[in-house]
Amino acid sequence: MKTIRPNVPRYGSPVTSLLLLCLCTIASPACAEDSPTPGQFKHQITGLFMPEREQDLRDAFKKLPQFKLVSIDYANAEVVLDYEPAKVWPGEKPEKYVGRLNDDLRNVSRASFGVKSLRTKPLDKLKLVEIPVVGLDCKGCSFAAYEMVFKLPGVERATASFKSGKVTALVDPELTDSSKLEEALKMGGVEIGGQPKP
Amino acid sequence: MCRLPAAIGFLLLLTMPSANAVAQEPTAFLSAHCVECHNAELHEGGLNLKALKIELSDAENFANWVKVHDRIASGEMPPKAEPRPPVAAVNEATAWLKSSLIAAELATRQAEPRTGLRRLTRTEYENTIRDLFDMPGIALRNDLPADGSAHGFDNNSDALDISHVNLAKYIAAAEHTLNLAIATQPRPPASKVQRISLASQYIIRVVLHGGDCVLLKNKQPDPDFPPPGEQAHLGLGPHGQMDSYSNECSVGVFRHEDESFNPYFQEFATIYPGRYRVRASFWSFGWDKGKVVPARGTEAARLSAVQLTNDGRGGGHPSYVLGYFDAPPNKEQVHEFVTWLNAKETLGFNAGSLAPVVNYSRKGRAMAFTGPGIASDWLDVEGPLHEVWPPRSHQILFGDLPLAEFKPDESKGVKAPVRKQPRQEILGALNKVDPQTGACWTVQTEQPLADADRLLQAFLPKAFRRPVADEVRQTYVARVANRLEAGDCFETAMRWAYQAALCSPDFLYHVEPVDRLDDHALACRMSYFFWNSMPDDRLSELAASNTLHQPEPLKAEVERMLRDPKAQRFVDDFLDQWLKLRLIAANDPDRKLYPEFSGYLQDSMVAETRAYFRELLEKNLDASFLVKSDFAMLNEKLAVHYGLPDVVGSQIRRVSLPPGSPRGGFLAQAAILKITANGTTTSPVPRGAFVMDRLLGSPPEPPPANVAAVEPDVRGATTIREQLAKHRDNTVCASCHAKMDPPGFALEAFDVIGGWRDRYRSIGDGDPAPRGQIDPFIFIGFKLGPRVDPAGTLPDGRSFSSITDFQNLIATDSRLLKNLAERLSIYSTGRPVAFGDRDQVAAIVTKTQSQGGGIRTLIHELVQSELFNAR
Amino acid sequence: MLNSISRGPLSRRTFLRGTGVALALPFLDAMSPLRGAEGQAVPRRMIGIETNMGILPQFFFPEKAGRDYELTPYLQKLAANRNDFTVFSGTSHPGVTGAHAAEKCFLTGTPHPERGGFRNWVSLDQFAAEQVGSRTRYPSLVLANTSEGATLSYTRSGAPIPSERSPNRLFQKLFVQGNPTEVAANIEALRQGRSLLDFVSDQSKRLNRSLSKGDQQRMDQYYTAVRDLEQRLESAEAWEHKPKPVVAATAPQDIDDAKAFVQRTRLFFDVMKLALETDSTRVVSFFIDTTVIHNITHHGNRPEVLQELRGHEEAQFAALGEFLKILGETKEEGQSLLDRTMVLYGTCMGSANSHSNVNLPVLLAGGGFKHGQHLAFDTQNNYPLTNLFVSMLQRLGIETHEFSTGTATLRGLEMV
Repeated sequence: MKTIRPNVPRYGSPVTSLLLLCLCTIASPACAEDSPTPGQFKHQITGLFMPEREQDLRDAFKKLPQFKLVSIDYANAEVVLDYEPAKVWPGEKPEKYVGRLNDDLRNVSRASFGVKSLRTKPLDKLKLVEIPVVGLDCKGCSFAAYEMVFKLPGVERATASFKSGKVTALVDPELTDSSKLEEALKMGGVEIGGQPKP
Repeated sequence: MCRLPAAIGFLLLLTMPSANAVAQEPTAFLSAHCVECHNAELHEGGLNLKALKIELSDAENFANWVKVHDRIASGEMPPKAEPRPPVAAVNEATAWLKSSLIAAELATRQAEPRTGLRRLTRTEYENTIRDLFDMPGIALRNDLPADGSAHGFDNNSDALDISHVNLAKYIAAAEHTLNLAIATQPRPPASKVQRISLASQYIIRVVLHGGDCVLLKNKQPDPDFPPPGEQAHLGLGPHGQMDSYSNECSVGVFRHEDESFNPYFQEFATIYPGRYRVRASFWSFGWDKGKVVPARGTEAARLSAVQLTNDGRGGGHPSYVLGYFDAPPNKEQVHEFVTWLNAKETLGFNAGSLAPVVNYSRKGRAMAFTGPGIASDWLDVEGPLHEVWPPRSHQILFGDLPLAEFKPDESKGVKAPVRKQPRQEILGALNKVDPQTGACWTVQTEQPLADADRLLQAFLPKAFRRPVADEVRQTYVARVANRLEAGDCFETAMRWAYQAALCSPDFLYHVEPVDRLDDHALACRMSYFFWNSMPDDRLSELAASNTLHQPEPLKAEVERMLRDPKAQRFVDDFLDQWLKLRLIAANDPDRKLYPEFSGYLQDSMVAETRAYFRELLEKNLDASFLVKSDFAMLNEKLAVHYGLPDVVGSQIRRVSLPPGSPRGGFLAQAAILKITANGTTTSPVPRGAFVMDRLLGSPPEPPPANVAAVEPDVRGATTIREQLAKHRDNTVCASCHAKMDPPGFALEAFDVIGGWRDRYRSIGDGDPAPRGQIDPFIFIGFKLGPRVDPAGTLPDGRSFSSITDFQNLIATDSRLLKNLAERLSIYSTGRPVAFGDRDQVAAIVTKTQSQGGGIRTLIHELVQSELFNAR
Repeated sequence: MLNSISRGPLSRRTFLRGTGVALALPFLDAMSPLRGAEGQAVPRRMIGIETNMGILPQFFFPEKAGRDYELTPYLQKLAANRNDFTVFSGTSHPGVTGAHAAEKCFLTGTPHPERGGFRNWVSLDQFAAEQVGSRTRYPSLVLANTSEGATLSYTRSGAPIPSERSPNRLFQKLFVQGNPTEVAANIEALRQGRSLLDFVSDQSKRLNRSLSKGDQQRMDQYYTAVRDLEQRLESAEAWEHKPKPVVAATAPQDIDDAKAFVQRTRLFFDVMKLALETDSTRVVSFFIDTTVIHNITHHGNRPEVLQELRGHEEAQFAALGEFLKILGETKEEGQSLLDRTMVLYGTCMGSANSHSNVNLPVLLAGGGFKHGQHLAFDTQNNYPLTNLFVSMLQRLGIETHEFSTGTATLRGLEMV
């Protein structure tokens, strides 16, 4: 399992294509900070399953004034927040910060948004999977499909949209593949197949 | 025959001086004309006149002689085949019997008043508490044991037993009443407005996914929640998280309620019992495979109050209907009304006028469905509404004593009043209790005993409906003093006294003076007649000033009372019993034979009968309208059911009937026709018996007790009429059936739910049945069987070939008015019509007829009569 | 004389008041205790059951009288306990007529229920409960599988006692404990209740003085109700101090469907057995209301209707058979529960089709009698069934030689 480390500023280039997540991360050496300093932190968001969700995320953070939302990177499902962990969660241990942020975000979004630890595996080791699906063009259904796959082992980031007709996922090929995702979707009642819409 | 003895008897009677004729038992008459059949060996009809002594102080003996008198007086006896006794002899005999019977009755009057002491019926009990405490919806009746019935009504002392179980329930009911009545906070609970969407309820979400409902925005399908077609929606949870069922949408419902589908506006569940204002917006629409199209007409949405238990989960919660509301085609209508809600009650919805339809099992679900729907935009609940605080229910107990905080350290040795904290127990309900400070508030007094005396002086006469002697009041004050000494606070001590008052016989019983009613008893008789409850202030004032019994004030009060909204209780309670409306739900019509039956139809039926009686009262129409009318009280559902055009909407209104229509009068009303059938078949026997008994006042005799049991064999017979022909072959049965069957035959023109029929419906053989007005979504599985033959002959020889013929024949029957007079008399005086009262009833009827014969006049005459004013 | 046949309700009441006999003596331990053969107090029980829409006589009554009779289709369902019950034929309640009106007289035997002004007499179970009821937490249980109003039990003043219609509620009442604060609150409430009753009974005495004679008789019913309740509250208070028995069973789920009367009956039988086992009560009345099938009881001898009706009634007897069997298998001090429990089962109409009230199908199981026979009386001139009630009361140890219209014990039925 990934270890939870204090968040460190990172520099990554934004993704340009919706379909291809070509992230070249040049990770600067992690400054293993034991005592967090005020500043900006990048976090991995769950629940950003379609582009419309970006606005929902902004609305959610409006309800959390203790965090200043600096930017959203939809393709990578990452946000940059400006806040002081020690002030926001006084007395809390640093290794618990991600969990606390997760709780806070869930509370204001009917548990539809969450926070998990940043990816450890580099992008070139990950594979993009795309599964055509058929269903009602409905945000709730898309979210339901998303929920069937995003927690599967090896899934780093997923999207789902019946409007566009597909479920996509960035997966670790050593842990999972598209057939496992398809199975999960079928079990949840999603119809596989059909033509993806442009 | 016995001519010689007859002649002698005749001579004997002739030679007697008429003054003595009264003193002579009619033994001669009986020997001459009766004993030949009514003796020890031949006892026809179970009567042996040789052995029947005249012992009129015995109730059974008295009843037998009344029968003898009636049979002779009406000419029914001797039977038509026998020679007629001379008129003078008949008159002498009946006159003797009559005066003896009256004298015997009067003799018992000392020990046994005509109206026996009786307690309040459970309906009267509930209404009295409701009016006394101004809590118009407190629910008490159903916790009390059912009352019996005597002479057709439950407010007769013979029907009103009391056991230890009743007493235990009265104690509990008084407890509950005081809990609701007493204010426990200095300020009223906050009155809030809460807007609820049907989409907030779990079951609605389930059927939204299944296609039995759709979400609509701006009267079009909500683009954000597509109606399910061959694809269904995935999971409810994710949709809730995505806020798919937001409040901005209307819910369009295609499905009628059934065992699995019971929509409630469950986000509101009453915490504080009281008055609430409800507003709801409905409209109807047509749906065509995903598109909203023009509706087929106005539909009816139903709202009920649903009594939830525990945390509200599970199904089958009892409910009562608040009303039906028009959902106009493609245009919303906002309805508003104020109602009382008890704790844990929520509001339920039903698409009342829709046929049962389910889409969840259909391939293509909502996208393959074409049909009508009812849309609910929202429902607002506002309340609890309090005009004054503390509420009137509290003021009647504690006047204007101030409420203050109970501080234990300042009240040594005094126990705090018991308080049960209100809680929201229903899962999913969003309304919460007001923030509670934890402080305990209760009434304060500087002079407890003086205040106790003062408060009881105001309360007891109201509760007991008559002046209360000082000594009696003192006993209550003494008890309060005892409780105070035992350490109760003032509120608790007074509660004790009030609870005792509500369980004492002074409250539970109608206490009337022994002979003539005083004005207080008269006021009660009137208020329980017209309002099923205690007198109001105005009536009590008139009684106190001893002017109520005077003709003019009496007449004015009757008018005032009939115009008061509470008079609806009289209409409901009287018809419930006289026309047996209480039994409306006793049978469920067979689903295969009568698939078009629905709750909406049943509720409409009852509303029709009540509205019709109301109209007879308002317009002072005469008794012929009981059986024949040129108008009916209908809503759209009934009009369609009866085949009458051009009535739109769920509300009952007066409709003129086309000439020749049998509808309108009670005889042709669906409620009556349903009550007199058994859900599957009709039979002329119960219907005929109902007409004879309830409308004409000549009930058929029960089958003889000591005749060997006859097993009618109905194998091989087909229609009920043919079955009865076999009954009539048996002479023992024929004597009654010749009277009972004819009205029943005429009514064979109507089926078990009051619809018109020319042919009987059958499940097995028959011709295909045309749909007619039946909803296109209802499957017609029944066929048309044999023809209905509604013809018959009355006992007097006149014949009829249809129901309208029959109605014309009996509309002029004088027994209609007389019977109604008797029923009203029995209902309003709590006693059957005594033998000696018959002349009075006849006089009331005559006076009424001389003023046009109207029913309102009848009621006035009844109230003005000696019959009503005496015990 | 604890009971008396009257010429009419008023005179009976007067008689009872006149003798000065206290109308309700349930809670005095001075009553002679019940003795078994060993000289110990043997608990004996009584259950009265009526199914109100008749029992088809052709499938119930055996042909032969005596011990060698062949089991009929209905009695076949009770085969396992053949030697534990007696079938009666040629009996009925004298003067009880009126077709369905008779259903309220099954345990009272009061004649002519169909007449105006009818007032019922005390029912067998209530009479017994007055005598033996104080020994148990509940003097009696009045149960019914019905819609409201139906009950087999009537008080001395002729008032019907409302029945418990929910097996679940019954279970809660018998076996679910209240917590200590609740118990304390209950006791206080009971005391307050008694004090209140004392007060209102004084009020009724005052009111009585200004009433006519006839009305005084009616107020008497109120007064009696007050006294009855007072005594019950006193007894209930004593029981509040004792914990309720613990049973290994779970509360049954009520069945809503009125047509499922056989399953509902079974639920009641289950709880009744627990109630007897734990000695929660020794007197039970149980009204099985099958009005839902009233239509088909007027079968007119049509074969298909008879078939359907027979199916229902056989199922009812199967349920009864199971109940008797389990009572027979439950042991108490070396005897079976059935040996100590009289189970009366029957109906108020000899033929529901013709509404006849003579030749009633009735049987008595258990209780400590010499069973295993068909006691056949005269079908033309019926033997009074109320004599059986006298036997049953004597079996409970109550000293009485008459009850209602019964004037002797039932001929041919011996106690063991």
